[in-house]
This record gives sequence, C-alpha cells and structure tokens, in this order.
Amino acid sequence: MPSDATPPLQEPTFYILLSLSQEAKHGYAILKDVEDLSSGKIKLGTGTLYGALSRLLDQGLIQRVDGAGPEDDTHPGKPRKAYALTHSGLGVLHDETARLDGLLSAARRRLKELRA
Amino acid sequence: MKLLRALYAALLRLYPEPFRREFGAEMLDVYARSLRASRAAGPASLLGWLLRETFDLPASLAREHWYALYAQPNLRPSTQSGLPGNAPVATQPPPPPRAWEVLMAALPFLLFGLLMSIGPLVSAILGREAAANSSISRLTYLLLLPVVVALPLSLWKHRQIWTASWYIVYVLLVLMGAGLVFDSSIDPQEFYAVLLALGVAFLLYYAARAGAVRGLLAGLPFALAAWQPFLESTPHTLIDPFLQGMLSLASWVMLGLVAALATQTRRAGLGLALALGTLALAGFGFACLGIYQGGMLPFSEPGPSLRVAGIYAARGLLLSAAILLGPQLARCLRAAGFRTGALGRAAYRLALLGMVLLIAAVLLNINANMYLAWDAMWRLSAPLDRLLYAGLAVYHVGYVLLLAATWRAPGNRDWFSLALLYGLILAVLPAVFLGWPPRTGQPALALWQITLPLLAWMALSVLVVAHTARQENT
Repeated sequence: MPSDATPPLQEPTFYILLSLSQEAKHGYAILKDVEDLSSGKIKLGTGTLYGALSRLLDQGLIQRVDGAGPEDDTHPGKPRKAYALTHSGLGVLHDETARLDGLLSAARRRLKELRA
Repeated sequence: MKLLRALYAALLRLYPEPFRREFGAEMLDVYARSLRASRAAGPASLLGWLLRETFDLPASLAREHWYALYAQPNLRPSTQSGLPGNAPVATQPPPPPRAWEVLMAALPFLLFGLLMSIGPLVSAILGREAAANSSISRLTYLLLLPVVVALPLSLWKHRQIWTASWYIVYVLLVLMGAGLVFDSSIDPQEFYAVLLALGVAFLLYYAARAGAVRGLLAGLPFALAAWQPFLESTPHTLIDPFLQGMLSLASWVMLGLVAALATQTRRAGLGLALALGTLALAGFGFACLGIYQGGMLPFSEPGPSLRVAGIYAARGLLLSAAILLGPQLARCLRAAGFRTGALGRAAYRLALLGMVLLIAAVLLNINANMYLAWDAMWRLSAPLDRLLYAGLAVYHVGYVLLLAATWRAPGNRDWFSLALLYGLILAVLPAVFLGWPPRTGQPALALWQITLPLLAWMALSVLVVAHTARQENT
C-alpha cells in the first residue's frame, strides 16, 4: 500500500521498526530496546512512543498482535498488547537501510579520497 | 510515586478521545514501569526521566491534537498481513452509546423547545401576557440550569458524538459575547450576515469532518432556525400564541427524537433522511403559520396567500437542507480526496475553496441587497457575479483534478461517489439560478420545476452521505 512513511524515516521511527523486526514487543519493551539499539542516544517519552505507534498502525507498517508478554499492570489478568512488524513495515525498513547504506558508502568513498 | 502515576493518569485525559481510548491504559502502564525502573536506578536517573517525560507530554499532546484534526480520516487498515507467527488482533467495534449519552444528545433540543414555547403557551393559557411574564422568566432561568451543568461536561468529553448537539450553545455564547464587545464598533449587518454565517459554516464542516452523525447533530438546530423568520416577521398581535408555542415545542421535540435515534443507531444516512423529513414537516407549519396569520416578510403579502407552497418549497426547504447537507457533502468530498494520495488531497482543497467562494458570493449578495426590493434581491451585481462564477470554475478545476487522482490511484476508485457528487451540482443549479426567485424579465418557473430538482438534490445527497459512511464503516 502507498505509505507516508517511505524513506527517509525519522530516527525514532527507524529504531522502533528495527526493534520490532526481531519479534513482537509491547510498549515498554520497545522503549528499552530503542534505548539499547541507539546506545542510549534515543530515549523516547511515553507520549512520543505511542504517537509513533499510532502513526505506524495507521500506515499499516505494524499491527497489534496477541501479547505474549507479562500481564498488563493496569488491567491485571489481561495480557499486555504487543506490536509486530508487517510485511509492508519490513519492506520500508529494508528500503531505509539500503538508503542509509548508500549514503554511508558515498560518504566513506569521498572521505577515503580526501585522506588519500 | 503513586501521586505521579495519578497525575499522569489525569493528564492523559488531555489527549484526543480516540487516541486515549486506544492507548491510554498502555501509556499508563509504560509510564508506571518506567517510573519504577528509573527510581531503582538512582536519583539522577529518576530526575532525567522526569524531565524527559515533562517536556515530552506537551509536545506529544499538541502533535496528537493536530493529527486528530488534520490526519486522514479512518484509514487504518482493518486487515494487514503480518510476518509469520503473529496473529493480528481483531479490530474492536466502538462500544454502543449509553442511555445518558443518548439523552444528552437530545437534551439541547428539548430545552430549546421548552424555552421557545413556554412564553407563548403560558400567555395563551393564562390570557394575560403581563401576569405571565414574571413566572416565565423564573422558569426560563430554571431551564438554563441544565446548560450550566452540561456545558463543561460536553467540553470535557468533546470527542464523544453527543457533544455535537451542544455546538449551538457555543454559538449563542459567542453571539452574546459579540453583542457585548462589538455593540457600537461593528456593523451588525456585516457581522451577522457574512462573518457569522461563514463561522457557522466552518463549525458545521468541522463537526461533519469528525463524523457524519456528529455533523448531523450539530447542523439540526441551525437548519430549524432557517424557518424562524416566518414567525419573527409576523406581528405578535396577529399570531396565535398557542399555535406558535405548540409548533415550536413539537418541532424541537421531533428534532430531539431524531438526534437521539441518530446517536443510538449511528446510521448517518437514516439520520439525515429522518432529519430532512422532520424539517419538511416542521417547516410547513412555520411557513403556514407565519404567512396565513399575516406575515410581513419581504416575499409575502399579508394575510392568506396562495404563494405559501412556493415559498415553503423554494426558500425554507432549500436553505435548511443546504445547512444540513452542505457540510456532509464537503466531508464526502474530503474522503474521496484523501483516498487518492497527494493529488487528491490538493484537488479536494481546491474544490472546497470553490465552495467557500460560492458561499461568500451568495452571502455578500444577500447582505448587499438586504434592503432592496424583492425582485432585485438575487440580481447579482457584476463583482459578485464574477465571484460566483470564479467559485464555480475553481470547484470544477478541483473536481477534474480529483477525477485524475482517482484514475491514477489503483484499487481506490470510487466512481460512484464522484458521479453522485457531480450530479448534486447539476441538480441544484436550476433551483439556485432560475427558480428562486425569477430575475426581472424572466418568466417564473412552475412549482414543480423548482421542487423536483431540489428533491432530487436532497435524495442524492443523502445517498452520497450514506454511501460514504458505509464505506468508512467497512
């Protein structure tokens, strides 16, 4: 489907998609994983995280799945909702990675020439 | 820590209702877990986390309200193929409205009915207007009490459907404020005839954009108000107060029932059809009472007049139907535009601009000719003529671009809606340009020549709205 989230992606969005590429995760797990993946550089606020998740759901890049994680603290007895990457989301992630790869390659080439 | 959690739970209420309903519980859970983890990591970590959340909240609130207002309507895919091993959660239908919400949707209509009928009815029953006045004013204050209670509630729950019924109260408050502020510095003719009309048009469009049923609830009081001049221009000494009171009460109660039914069933097409039927029924009473009892409207002779049927069909019905259906049609146009990518969105905005130009031309024309003779009222002066035709041209450019965008968008082609939307323009033109009223030197059209296109326009409009609402629901 056509998507507004075609590359370039914003950094937090990229990290959220990357985090979900491994497995379905609930909100808190995404928050921690994004922090780990970015070596502590990206620390998402709760509002920003859920705003981004809402937009990614709208664009069909992620979807809600039956949570496999621990119970929801606010609703004991209910499994926590989890989010998973869709095929479209995986495609966008690949496209963005390829784009960043191209940028890096160009930059490395030019810097190498400068050094030489 | 419990205090922070409770504070965040309260602040979550500031998010738009649909967003809060969908993510509120999860956000609170994530907030509580992050709080525990930061606290365990030490005071510096807790302080950093607190600062981050404090700055994140207002930015996130602003962003979500912006998206709620301007994002694409209802485009979340209902099914989406996922990666293996993940079973999608089924989309939950919205919960059915509760009884108090249905009552709140109907309440403003019932209050208006009582407020507008109590004076004439008490006068008629007691037979002494002076003696009745004191008891009427006390009762009026009593009737306003529910408004004082309900208004903050409707502002607080502003994303719920029933709150749209209370938009009329906001407009009345603005009018009261404008009366106090601009009493001597503004031309009331310009304010009421152009600025207020455009403001109300935007408000109704804003309501309809958020949902067809919301637009219906917001538009109903304004549509009925279009009939009020029939009574207001009739001298009080001539009009029968009992009939006037009963007519007001019955009309508003009928609209209240329509509002309750629309809120309960959430069926936009059915609600619109019932609303138009109710307006036709109530409006006929206003037209007959106003004119047969000696109305002095500029378009009527005093005393019984055979022209009542023509005036009723062409003036009141067209005007009230336009108030109710116009914003809904703009909303359908928006849905068609947003389905077809960036070009469609631009085309929809262009078509909307054309509509605004048309409305402005008509309003300015009425304003300019307010005190002119009947036969000159709709004779357009040259600049306004150009504005009207410019509006039509811009609308058509937008419509053609919308067709092109639809043609280019694979899998999203809804030619049916687009054909109906264009059919509406064709259907309404004879009624606007030829039928009401005839220009000087032109023969008047027969009643059926005005009424048939008008009825066709109304039926088509309801069809378009019902079709769009059904598409969104599926």
